[in-house]
Amino acid sequence: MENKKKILSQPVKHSDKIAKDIINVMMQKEQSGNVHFDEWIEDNPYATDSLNKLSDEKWLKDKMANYPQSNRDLGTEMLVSKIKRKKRNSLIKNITAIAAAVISISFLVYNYSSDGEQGADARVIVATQAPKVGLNYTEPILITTEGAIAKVNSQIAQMDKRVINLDEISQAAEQTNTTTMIDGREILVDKKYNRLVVPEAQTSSIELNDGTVVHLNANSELLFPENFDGESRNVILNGEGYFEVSKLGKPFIVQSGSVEIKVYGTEFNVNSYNIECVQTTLVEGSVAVMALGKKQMLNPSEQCVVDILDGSVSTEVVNTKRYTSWKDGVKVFEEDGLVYLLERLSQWYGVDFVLENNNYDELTFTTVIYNETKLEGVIKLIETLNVNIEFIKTERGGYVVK
Amino acid sequence: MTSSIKHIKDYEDVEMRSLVEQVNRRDTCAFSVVYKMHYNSLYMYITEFFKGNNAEAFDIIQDVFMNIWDSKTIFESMAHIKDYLFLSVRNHSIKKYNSSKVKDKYNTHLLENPDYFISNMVEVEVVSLLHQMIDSAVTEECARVLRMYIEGKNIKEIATELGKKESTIYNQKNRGIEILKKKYSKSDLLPLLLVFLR
Repeated sequence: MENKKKILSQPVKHSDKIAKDIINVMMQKEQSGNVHFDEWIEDNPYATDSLNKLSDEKWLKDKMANYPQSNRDLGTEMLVSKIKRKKRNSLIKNITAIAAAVISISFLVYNYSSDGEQGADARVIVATQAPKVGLNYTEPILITTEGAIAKVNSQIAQMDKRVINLDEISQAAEQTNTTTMIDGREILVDKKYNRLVVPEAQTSSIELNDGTVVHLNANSELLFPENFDGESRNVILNGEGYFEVSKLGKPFIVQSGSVEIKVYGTEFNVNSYNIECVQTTLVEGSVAVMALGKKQMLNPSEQCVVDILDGSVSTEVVNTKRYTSWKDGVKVFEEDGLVYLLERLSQWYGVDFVLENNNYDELTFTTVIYNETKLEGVIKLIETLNVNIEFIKTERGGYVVK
Repeated sequence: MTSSIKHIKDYEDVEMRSLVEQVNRRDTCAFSVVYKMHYNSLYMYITEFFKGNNAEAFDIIQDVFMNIWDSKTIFESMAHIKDYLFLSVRNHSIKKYNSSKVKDKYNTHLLENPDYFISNMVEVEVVSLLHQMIDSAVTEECARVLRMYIEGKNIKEIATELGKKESTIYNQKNRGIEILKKKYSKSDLLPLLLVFLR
C-alpha cells in the first residue's frame, strides 16, 4: 500500500533520459554522467536486470519485432470516434433537456486502411452504443405521461389501459418533475408523450389510439401522445420501427432524428439506429420523406436513405422483406456480407465487434435468425456457417472477430 | 550543447506546451496526437506486464484515454501526461491481473513494486527510441517496409502483404538502410540499428 502511494505521488524519474543513457552505455560510449541514470543504477534493484535484457541482442530484436505499430492508427481513429460520440450525446442531451427522453443510438462503421492501400492492416470496427435510457429493464416497458410504468407483453399492447398488463404499475410521487423514482431507478417522464422503450434483444408492438400499429425493434423507443388531438398525429422514433398507419383524415408524422416522414395510411419501416443516416422503406401506400429541406415521395418497394453527414437523399427499389421481416419474428439474410450482418447484430444486441482484418469481402451469409435467439446462439451459428471465423469475447461484452 | 540545438529544443518545448494546453481543454485532435505519441510504448509496457499476452492492451489504452477525457485532470507538462498515462496503464493492468484467475503471489508483489515499474518503463523507452530513430529518418512507407523486415519477414512476404512488386520492396529496403547510414553516420547507434536490418 505504501509503495503505491509513493509511486503515485512522484514523477517517473525521467525514464526517457535514462533510456538515452542506456543506449550510450550499450554503444560503449562514455557515460554522460547523467544523475538520473546513476541514481537509477544505484537505487533500483531491477536496473541490472533491465540492462542485461537490453544488452541481449535476441531479446531486443524480439521486442523490436513485436512493436505494435499497425494497431496504433486504428486505436487513434477509435478514440476519436468515441470522443465525438460522447460530445454528440451530451449535445443531444442538452437540446432535449425538456423532452428529456431521447435514446441516442449512434452507430458507426468505418473502414480503416492505412495509406489507403489494400493490406493486412485493413480493419473494420462495427460499434454501437447501447441506449442511455437510464433504466435496465430486460423487457419492453411503457412509461406514461403521469409517470406510471408498465411492463408490456410481447403481444400487441393497446393504449387502452385495461388491456395493458399493469400489474407493476406504480404512481409517480412528484407529478411536477420530469424524473421519478420507480423500482429504485430514476426514470425520465415526458409530460407530452408516453414512451415505449424496448431493450436489446427484444421486440414489441403497440396499438395507438387511432388504430395505428407500431412494431418496435430492439434498442428502440417510440414517443407518442395519449390522444391525437392536434391537426396531425405526431410520434417520435429512436431506433427502428415498422408502422401500420390507420387511414384517417389527419396526416401521421414520424420524426426520427432530423428526418420527418409524413403519411396518410400506409405500411413502412424506419431505421434510424444511425441517427445520421436514416433509412425509410415503404411497403404499401405512399409517404413523403422530409429532410435537409428536401421532400422525397416514395412509391411501394422504394427505400429512401437520408445521409445527414454528406447531405444526400437517395432512393432505390429494394426487396422490402429483407428490411421488414424482423416484425414477424425473424431476421432474414440473403447473401449478405459479414459487415452488414454484424451491423445488424450490433444494433439489435447493443454490442461492438472489431474485425481483425478486412478480408471477408467474398463471404456471404444466407440465414434466418429468430428474434428470440440469444446473441451467443447467433454467434455459434455464424461460426458453424463459416469455420474460418472465430469470435472472441472481450471483457466489456464486445467481440473480436478473427 | 550548441546554441542551434538549444534553439530547436526551445521550439519543441513551445509546441509541447501548446499541445498540453489543448489536452487540458480536452481537444479531440490533441488527444489523438498524444495517443499516437504514446501508444506504442504503452502497448509494449502492457504486453511486458502480461508476459506477451496482448489481448488486453488495446482495451486498456482506450479506457485510460477515455478516463482522462472524462476527468478534470489538468496537466502541467508532456512529462506529466506521460507519467500519468504510464501510471494509469499500470494500475489498470494490476487491476486486471488481480482479477484474472492465473496469478501467483510472487508475481503480484513484483508487479506492484514501483522500482520494477520504473525499470520496465526504461526498457520500453529504449525500444521506442530505436524505433523513433527509424521513423524520423525515412518516409512512412519506407519505415513500414523496414519494420516488417525487422519483424522477420522476407522481401517476398512483405511484397505479397503490401501487394507490391518484390523489386520495389527490395529497393525501398535498401534505400531505407542507405538513408539510415547517412543520417546516423556520426551516431554510435548506427551499428545497433543495422543489427536489426541484417
